[in-house]
Amino acid sequence: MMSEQITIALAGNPNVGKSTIFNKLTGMKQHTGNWPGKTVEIAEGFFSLGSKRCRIVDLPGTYSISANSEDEEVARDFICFSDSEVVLVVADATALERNLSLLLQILEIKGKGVLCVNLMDEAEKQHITPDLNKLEKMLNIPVVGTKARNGKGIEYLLCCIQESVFSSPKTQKWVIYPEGIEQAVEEIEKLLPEFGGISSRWVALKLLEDDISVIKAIEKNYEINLKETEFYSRVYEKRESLKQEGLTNIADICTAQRIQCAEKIAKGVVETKEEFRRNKLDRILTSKTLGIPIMMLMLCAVFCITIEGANYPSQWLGNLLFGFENILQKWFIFLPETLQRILVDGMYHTLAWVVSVMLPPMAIFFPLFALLEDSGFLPRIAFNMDRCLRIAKAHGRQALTMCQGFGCNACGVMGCRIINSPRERLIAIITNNFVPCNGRFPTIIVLITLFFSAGNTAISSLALLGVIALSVGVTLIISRLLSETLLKGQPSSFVMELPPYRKPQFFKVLVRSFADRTLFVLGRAVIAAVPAGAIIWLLANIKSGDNSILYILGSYLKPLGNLMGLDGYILLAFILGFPANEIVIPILIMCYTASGKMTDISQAAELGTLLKMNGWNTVTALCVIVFSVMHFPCATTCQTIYKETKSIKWTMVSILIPTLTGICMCILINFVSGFFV
Amino acid sequence: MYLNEALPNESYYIRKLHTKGVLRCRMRELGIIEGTQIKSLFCAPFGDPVAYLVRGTVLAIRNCEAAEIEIEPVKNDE
Repeated sequence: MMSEQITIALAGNPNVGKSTIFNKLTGMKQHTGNWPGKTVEIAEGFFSLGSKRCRIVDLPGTYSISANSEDEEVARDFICFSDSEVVLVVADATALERNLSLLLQILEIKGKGVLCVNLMDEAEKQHITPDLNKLEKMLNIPVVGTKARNGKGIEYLLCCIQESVFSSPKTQKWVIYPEGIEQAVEEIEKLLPEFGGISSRWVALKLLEDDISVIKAIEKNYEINLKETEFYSRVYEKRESLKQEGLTNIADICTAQRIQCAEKIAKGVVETKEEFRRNKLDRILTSKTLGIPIMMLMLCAVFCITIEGANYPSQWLGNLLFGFENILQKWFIFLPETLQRILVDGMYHTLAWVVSVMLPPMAIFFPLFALLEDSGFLPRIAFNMDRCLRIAKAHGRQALTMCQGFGCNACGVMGCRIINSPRERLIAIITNNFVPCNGRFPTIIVLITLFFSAGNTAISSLALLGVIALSVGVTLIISRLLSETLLKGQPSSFVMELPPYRKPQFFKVLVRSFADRTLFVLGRAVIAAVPAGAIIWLLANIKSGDNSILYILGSYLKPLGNLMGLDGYILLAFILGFPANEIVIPILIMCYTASGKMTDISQAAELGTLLKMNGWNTVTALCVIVFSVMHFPCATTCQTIYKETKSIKWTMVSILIPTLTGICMCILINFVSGFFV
Repeated sequence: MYLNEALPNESYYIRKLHTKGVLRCRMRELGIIEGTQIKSLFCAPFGDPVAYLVRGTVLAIRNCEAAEIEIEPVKNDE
């Protein structure tokens, strides 16, 4: 029975432009991450092919489908057990040999497929010209060359996909194994039942290899117990007899055979380039002396551009949104006074605040970061920082999630998906909040300016660098502590590819990072900010006796605050700033000025006066900065942590650990400073 | 000799993989098998990991794991 919809599985190595092909076919805006694991979630898209509707599923980028990681398992399971009619494998024209290995694995399973050799423009630049006609003859499947960036070759690709839908699986052997294994496979194949959509030869091979993952997957999907079948004992016999012949590790032998087959095909089709010129960029980025300083400089540059660039848009947006408040007041004039105030002064005001302060920096940071991703810089950062992270018993890729955390901790936490080992992923998630996000930087910078540097840019920059060093240092220490206590274990190993640098696709990156990240995070923050705004207004305006509840709460928190070198209001401001770190200072100002509504002080000097009037000194500022770096994650981040870990326990841990660290640090600083001041 | 002792920019043949488990599978799938040519390119600022060229791909391998890959030098007259 022909279904009305055709399902296409899209597979390939990471960094081959698979997602570009996906987008070209579906016309859908999708996030393309260059970094493996960025597409762990399977993405789906739709397009029409002739009169049929096609559903294309973008599988995670994998080097193989041996199920050594979650990505590979997801890809393999989809290829084997879903009802996909076509598997489209995208390969990198400049690295054909490596990509063919995956193709061969897939062909062995499905018996048919379409090969799309992408990045032909990159290949041309490097004077690599694969003979695609010859490749097609050797593989006996359609082979299409594409330059997905400009859409070249896509038309022909669609034809080949259509052709592949109607063709039946071939029984040819793409990889021929040593004699003993081939014989055993043939014998076992005959005994196996029909597995729809999967080649029996492949199943026989996997049984011989004793691939437990495949066995489990088949058992689950076909609801049979393979170990109890007749042929399983036969498999065992065959395996033993092969051992006698000296073929002990069959899985090893088969992998090697497949790799050599891929090598042979690639050599027959493209001239291998002997010379490998170490990219000049790599020479600088990974050099002993310049490597890490340059990385820091790059990060600093991103911060500077973000902060400076966000100033004017923030002001403009603020003027726009706060200006609208008056209009809003007029609309609500018919409501009772208190409700008016709650809606306008509380909820809308907070909302306007969060949007005007949060949106511009995010709209700059995320695209910048996405450009770094797209161009290939990120793997070099992980490469450089791997040693440090391993001493902290954390995963090398945690360096990247930390970088993302500088933009937004919620995104940093989501980015932890690229870490395969659950233990190390949790460590990365729990410690991500030690990295100050875009929302906390303005607070930290203004306090540095007011209390430490008196406007001197050089000192400000150094101080900021110091704060970042502190947050990185604490992250590493706490990661190590977690590794020794709550999350015991050894660092997992990983072999990482350093992909070639590529020119990022600017427009695509900008649009996608805006839609995917900026709007998404903003949306969640707004959802948290609006009710919080109402609560804060109520606290500030409901009076018990002479004082507002805000004032009373502040005085309850005074003892703990003083111990930490802060005061009750600062602590209260942090607590009420749970929805978004951006509103901490405005809430504090509201407390100090006993006003009923959040205000800001545009002149830094004025703010300085207000703070000093309320008992602030250098130590206070230092403790506030430290607590700003080390405290509980914001509402959006907490929600994201829960979504990623699906565990209340770990979400609580992620809240407690930074907070307790912060409290202890502040108490310590306050105590020590007592000897100096 | 082992891969972590490889001299930079010299080519070697892989003789045997002593790594086990998931790492072994991963390495083999990436083409690090007996007979493959491998060349050390550059290392990270702290000396670890090291980037190697294997079958046209640049792979970063940690020293402790490279220490489990047995290699032999490519003879000059080849």
